[in-house]
Order: sequence, then structure tokens, then C-alpha cells
Amino acid sequence: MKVFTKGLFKENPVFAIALGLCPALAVTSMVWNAIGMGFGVIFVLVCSNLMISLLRNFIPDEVHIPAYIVVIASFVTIVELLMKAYLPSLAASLGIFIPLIVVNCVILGRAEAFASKNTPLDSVLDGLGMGIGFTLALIAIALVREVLGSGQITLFEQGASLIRIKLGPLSDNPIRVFAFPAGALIVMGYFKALFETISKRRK
Amino acid sequence: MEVISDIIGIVFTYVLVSNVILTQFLGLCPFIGVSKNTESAVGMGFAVTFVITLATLFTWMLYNWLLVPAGLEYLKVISFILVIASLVQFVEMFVKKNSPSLYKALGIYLPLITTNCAVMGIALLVVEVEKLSLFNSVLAGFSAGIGFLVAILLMSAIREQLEIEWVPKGLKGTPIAFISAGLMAMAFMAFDKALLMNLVG
Amino acid sequence: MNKIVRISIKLLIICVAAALALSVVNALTAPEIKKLEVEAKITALGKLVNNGKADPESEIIVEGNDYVSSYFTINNNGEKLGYILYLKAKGYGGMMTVMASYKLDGELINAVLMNNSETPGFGKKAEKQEYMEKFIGRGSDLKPLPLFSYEVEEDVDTVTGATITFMGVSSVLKNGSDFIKGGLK
Repeated sequence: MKVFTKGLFKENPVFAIALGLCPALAVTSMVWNAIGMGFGVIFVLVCSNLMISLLRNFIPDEVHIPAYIVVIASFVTIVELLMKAYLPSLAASLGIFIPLIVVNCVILGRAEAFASKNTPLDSVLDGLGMGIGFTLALIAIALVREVLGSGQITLFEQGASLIRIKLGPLSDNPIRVFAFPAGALIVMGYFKALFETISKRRK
Repeated sequence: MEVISDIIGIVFTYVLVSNVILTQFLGLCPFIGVSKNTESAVGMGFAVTFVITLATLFTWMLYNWLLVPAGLEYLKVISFILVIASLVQFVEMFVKKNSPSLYKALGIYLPLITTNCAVMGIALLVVEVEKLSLFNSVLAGFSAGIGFLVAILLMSAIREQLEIEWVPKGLKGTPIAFISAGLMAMAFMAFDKALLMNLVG
Repeated sequence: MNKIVRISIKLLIICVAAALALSVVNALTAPEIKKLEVEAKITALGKLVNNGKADPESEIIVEGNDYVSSYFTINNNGEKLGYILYLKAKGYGGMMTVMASYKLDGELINAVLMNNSETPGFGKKAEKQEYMEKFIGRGSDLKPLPLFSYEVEEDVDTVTGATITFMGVSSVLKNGSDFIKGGLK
């Protein structure tokens, strides 16, 4: 159980270890993008952890990094193709950040640090925990940015179906800077400060 | 004239308007991780510039001369990342053998670059999304690297200054680095396409 | 030596397995992706003409033009009414594809932004249909297309994002109009 829960808060990949920052900030101008990105990462993380754990005795030590990269890149491509085929508007708004999951340090980091040494079941749990932790972090950032920057919360968007909550006066006069890169960095700074303070208190 | 304005346009865009870090969020991990002092920031900046330039060259050739004719575009992620990983490996070996002093300066940053999203991101952006010509792609890659260098250099200068300034307790370290980067990104918003249009028409 | 061979064979097996898996997924999703592209094209063509019809099959590819990649002809019972152009913004940092329909004199009938790779959230505003309305009905010699946002609205959005796309869209539309006035060249 601990294998699963540690990724949620204590070793949260975004806030605690500051890994995978690029997608965490780039796609979080909308909650729905954050959810989509999060699920993509969960899928890749769980699958690659499982695969690498299964192959951990097969993969020669000398070339383990290239082998991991091939495994991860394959799952990333699968996610990209599936998203383009079944969720095209999400794929369009995430753009190059889907293929960039491949260089998300969280995934290679977990493969190296955990999946290569543990059983398949534990690795899947670890991947799931880390993935959910990553997704929660993304949603938290996106929630702040979309509420302040656009005055709305978009929970789902695909073609004509759209679930979007508009927040009265704020949606008419949003603080647009939060939708821009500058706002993302500032929101991230305050989240990081909050996170560090909380984890210090807990000790 | 056309060529010159193209060159100015690309350099201006990739260094300032769409700065890799401050507007595209590519390469944020090293930006926060390696910007504690100016020396390592410069080292990282040059290493990234070098690798991005080569990576755009090789991925462009791979994509347009091999993957597209063969209809294998879906293998782009896997092949690009392998090209970048082996490129980094070769550069490391080459530099180690031929220039020990350069290796000393850049060596420790090179392995980190494989998972630097700036390299992969720019390669994907110029080759697949923008579909620039070979020369323009390499130029864009180089400019993006310079953009990275500029941003990380400025950031390291700010962080060195922050070390000796009074900072609220909770914000010490990375949080204030993020916030400063945010303010810097705000300053970079002044460089927009409208400005570029006025410049090159 | 033996060891190196063994390692390379193992790596090769992984690579081949990965490539095979990907080709299967690609074979499954490629028709789906293609279908979506065609659908998007047909919807866009339908949206762009209020009078007459453009045949999705009648696409004519334009070579050697920086802005126009292809065009369709709008017909109404054999009478030529105008053209629909596939326009691309000359791209550095934000490629844009716009589909726009024009009357024979270069006046804009309608325009749709097909995709843009500008940072998510920035260019979004331009995808709303009302945004294009500022350009519709202009482009003939009497009423030129606006190039800057202050020509059509007093309330210029001072935050950069909006201007980026305005200038991108406006210059693309103007190039399209000039293409038609220049006799499809």
C-alpha cells in the first residue's frame, strides 16, 4: 500500500521532486488539458513500469537506458495515436506535449529507480501512485490558472460536448496573465512554497 | 532580402518571442536545477545549444529523407529519442577525446541533456509541426539553444543575487526561483509577433 | 565478443517488438485519424459556403506559393461563384492553417481556423467564429482587409496574446484575397 500512496504526496513527482515540470506548466491553462495529460502519463507510466519490471532480467545492464527509452517511446506513441484517433481536439490542444511525455523525467526516473528492481505488481502500483500524484498536481495548478486566468473550469471538451463552469464576473474580466506562461511559473512557485511548508510541518 | 528577413525572423522568434523556456516551457528542469550559479548555467547553456543544433539537423534528415518517404511517421518519437540519445553519447565521447578542457566544462551536463525536453521539443516543433526547410530548421535549433542560454544565464544571475537578499522564509530556494522566472517571463511578453512584424514586415 | 553479440541481439529483439507493436496500433488508428481529417475538411467546406457548393474532391494543389497550398472552386449549377483557399501562415513559432472562402473579386465570405500550434490558450480566441466576423465582407478593392486590430475595434486587447493571432490571421486572409485578385497566382 505504501508503494502506492507515496507518490501522492510524500514523493509527489511535481511538487516534491520537481520532475516533469515542462508538461506540468505548459498544458495547465485548462483543467481538461491537465486531466488528459495526466491520463496519458498514467498510462505510459503504468505500462512502461510493468514492461520494464517483466523484462528486468532480460535487459542487459550495459544498455538498460536505451532499452528503457525504446519501451517508453513505444507506449508514448501508442498514447499519441490513440488520442489523435479518439480525442482529436484534446490531441490538438496538447500538441507536441504528448510526444514529449517520452522525455518526462518522471517516467525514466521510475523505470530506473523502481521498476528495474521490483516485482511487476509493485511496479504497477508504483506507476499508478506516481501517475495519480502527477495528475493531481497538474489539476491543482490548472484549477488555479483556469479560474484566475479565464474565469472558468473546463472539465470536458470533445467536439460539440463541452462541460464548462463559468464563474460569473471573473469570466468577463479574467486576470489573463495567469493563462500565460508567466502566470504558470508564479502559480508553481507558490504551490512549491505551500508544499514545502506543509511537508516541514508534518515532520 | 527575403532570405535575410527570414533569418532575422527565425532568430528573433526562437531567441525572444518563443523563448524555449519562458514561453514554451521546454527544458524547465535544468533551468531550475542548474541555475544556482552562473558558471554551471553557462556550461549547460552551451551544451544544450550544441546538442539542439545537431539534433535538429539529424532529426530533420531522418524525418524528411527516411520516415516520410517510407510512410513511417508514427515511428518519429522512438527514432528521434534514439537519435538524440546516441548523439549525446557521441558528442560526449568526441569531446572527451579531443578537448579535455571542454569536457571538464560541459561533461557533467551532457548526459542530462538526453532527457532535456528542449532538445526533443524543438526537434519535433521545427521538423514536424512547423515543417521548416533544412537550413531554417538548423537555424531555429541554434537560435532556440541561444534562447535557452540567455534565459538560464539571466536566471542564474538573479538567483546569485537572491542568495544575499532577504527572502520570506517559506519562499526560500526553488519557490522564489519559480516566481522570479515568472516575472522574467512577463518581461519577455514584450517581445511579441507584432513587434517582429514591424521589424521585418 | 560473444557478450556484445548477445547484448545487441537482445536490444534488437526489443526494438523489433516495439516496432511491430506500433505498426499494429498505427494500422488500427490510421483510418480513424484519416476519417477525422476528412470529416473536418467536409464540415469546414460546408461552413464556408452559404450559396452554392464546393466539391471536396475538386481540390487543386498550388505549387510554389508561400501562402496558398490548395484551392476548391465554389459552383452553383455550373456557375462559378468563388473559391475556397487552403491558406497557411508562413510559420515561425506558430504555424496556422486557415480555410477561407472568397467571392470572385476577392471579398471574404467566411473563414475557419483549422489548427494552430500556438501555445495552448493563446491563439484560442481566434477559433471562435465571431472573431472572423471582423474580416467577413471585406477584401474587395473598395473595402480592404484590416491588417491591424485597431482598424476594426477601438478596444484593442492590450495583452499580447490577441495581437499575435490577429496579425497572423489578417495577413493570411489578405494574401488569400490577393491570390484571387491576381488570377489564382
